[in-house]
Amino acid sequence: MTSWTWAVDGWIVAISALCAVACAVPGAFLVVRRNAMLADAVSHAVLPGIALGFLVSGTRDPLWMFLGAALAGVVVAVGSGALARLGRIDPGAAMGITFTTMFAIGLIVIVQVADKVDLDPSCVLYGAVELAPLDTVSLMGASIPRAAVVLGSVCAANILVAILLWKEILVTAFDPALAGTLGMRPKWIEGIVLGMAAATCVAAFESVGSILVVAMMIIPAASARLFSDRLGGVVACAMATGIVAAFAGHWLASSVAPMVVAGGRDASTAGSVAASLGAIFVACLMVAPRRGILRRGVDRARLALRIAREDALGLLWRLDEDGRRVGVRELRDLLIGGAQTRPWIARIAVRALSHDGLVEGGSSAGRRDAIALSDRGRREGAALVRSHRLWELYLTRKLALAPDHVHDTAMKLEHVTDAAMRERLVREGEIDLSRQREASDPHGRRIPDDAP
Amino acid sequence: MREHSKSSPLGIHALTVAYHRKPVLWDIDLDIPAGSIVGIIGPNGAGKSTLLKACLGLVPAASGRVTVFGKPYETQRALVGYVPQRESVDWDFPVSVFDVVMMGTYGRLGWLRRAGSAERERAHAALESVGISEYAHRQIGQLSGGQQQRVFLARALAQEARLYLMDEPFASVDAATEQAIVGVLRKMRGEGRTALVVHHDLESASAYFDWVVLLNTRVIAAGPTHEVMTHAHLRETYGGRLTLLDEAGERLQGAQRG
Repeated sequence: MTSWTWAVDGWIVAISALCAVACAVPGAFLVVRRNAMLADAVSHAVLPGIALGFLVSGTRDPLWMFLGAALAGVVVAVGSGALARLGRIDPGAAMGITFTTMFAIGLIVIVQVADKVDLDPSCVLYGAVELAPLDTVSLMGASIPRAAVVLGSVCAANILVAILLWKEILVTAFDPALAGTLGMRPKWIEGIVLGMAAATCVAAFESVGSILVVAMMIIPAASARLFSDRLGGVVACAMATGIVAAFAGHWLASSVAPMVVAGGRDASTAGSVAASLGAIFVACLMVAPRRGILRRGVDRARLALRIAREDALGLLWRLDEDGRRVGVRELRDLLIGGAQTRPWIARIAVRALSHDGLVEGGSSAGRRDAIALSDRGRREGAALVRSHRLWELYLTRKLALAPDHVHDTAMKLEHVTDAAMRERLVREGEIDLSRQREASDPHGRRIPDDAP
Repeated sequence: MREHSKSSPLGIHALTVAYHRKPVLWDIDLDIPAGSIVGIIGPNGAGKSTLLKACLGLVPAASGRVTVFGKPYETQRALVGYVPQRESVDWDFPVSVFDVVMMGTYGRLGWLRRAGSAERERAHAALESVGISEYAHRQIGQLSGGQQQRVFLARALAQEARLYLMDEPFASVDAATEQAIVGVLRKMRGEGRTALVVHHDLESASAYFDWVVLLNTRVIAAGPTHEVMTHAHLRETYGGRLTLLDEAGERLQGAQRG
């Protein structure tokens, strides 16, 4: 295990965090447009531009890299468009062809010029943020890592563009046709967002590499989307997620990994940051409000429980109508068999009935004792059965369904039917309850009255 | 060539629109009267939505031009509001109802300027007039279909345009929303604004529109509703397409491909 020194590790975390914040801006815009694949495409496409910058200048001067990347961007935009048009192929395939070809050319050139510009070609893919603090420039008297200066500038530029063009970016992302009619030039705005993504890829290239930068653009934004329903919130949450992952990733790489893997070597920080992002996303997906898997599971279970409880009440009411009584176990079996309720849900539902005072008897004294509806239980059961039978009548009349085809549908609809809807069923179904013949469902069962 | 009125909110002059060379709208020539609610009616594939989009420059015209109050559309954008089809956007997008309505005010703001209290007031008033103020801070996906349609309508109102182009605003909305939309349209007309509404229900058309354009890749008839909605015109609009024209279009497309 290597000890944590702020002069080195602090800079590594700061550079990773700056990279994450810079990525969060274009990343969020691409993710909310459901265009996350473009981040992948852009990161591949800029590589030959970077290589060209090396080739021409013979240095790793970021200005040349930006120029080369801009040129690569134009080639890709024009090239994939022309390919789709001339070759009459699907635009996705055209993009796939252009981007991977560009990436391959970039790789070849970079390996060729690597010695000339003092670059480790393998870093192209996964970066070398650990080495970044060693390569410093002096800025206003202080010695600052070059990567921090480059990423910091791109970060500031991205944030500035986002603030200045906020409403244009928002409208273009949500409704490009409206943006056009408002005179906002949506094509330009889309180009600016892609330009931001490309500039960020170039700046992040030496630190995290051209593959992991995709993780930094997409994962924080996708995690943030689970927690925020506003574009501004998504951008802010994505930045925060990225910063957390930068800390966690470097800590894992420098302190935890050497302890786990024999040999005591530090792991790749960029790789660990990306892996942390993946873990953060999974955690977010579990616990997120509304969209989270846990929350959705709880909501589903709650709904199933409510339905089972109502089905049990309806069952008891119908049994009562026939003058029959059942015990707890029998009721449970009827629920599981007849209403296809899951056993554990049926068990809780039946227990909830007596807990809520809807039934009497059948409690601790003896499980075989017959249970009876309480007054409140009878009222609620009657309402459910009324809903059920009114729906059956309505469906046979208004949809002309056969009487033996309406039970299952009514079984579902009765759980979302309140008193107001029952009134409408009577009115719109033209059901005259005062007439004896009318007061029964298609199976000849009486329709119970609504409780006062 | 026909003489066009300078005062017409929307003048369409010999407009032809083609997708991959195949014409979908033939030589449309129309002057929409000011201060009226105008329905565009025709079968599926008649080019109703395309006509609106071509007027707004969202699809390129093969030939012809469009004027708004006598001047080219490009110089008159601020006077024209657009209500697209509800399905045209992603309702899962992270944006609130109020923010969407605010978008209507952005056209006049221009680049780099931020919305202020005047714009916010306009957005609130627009939400109020379509009756969904209480949902202002909800995410748009949490609304029902009818409420979403009202959001689009409120956004158009906040734009304070003189001419509105609406693409199927009545499509699959509840009865309350339908009435709210009709109320807004009539209020607009009372203020001298003009609305051009793509519509597919023949039964309600006579009740809603002062003026009707019957469209089936070409204009079959256009004029006051009671004059246009005749059996003969409707039969021509809905009864069979001009197959010869379709075939010629296919050949044009084929020639381009070959």
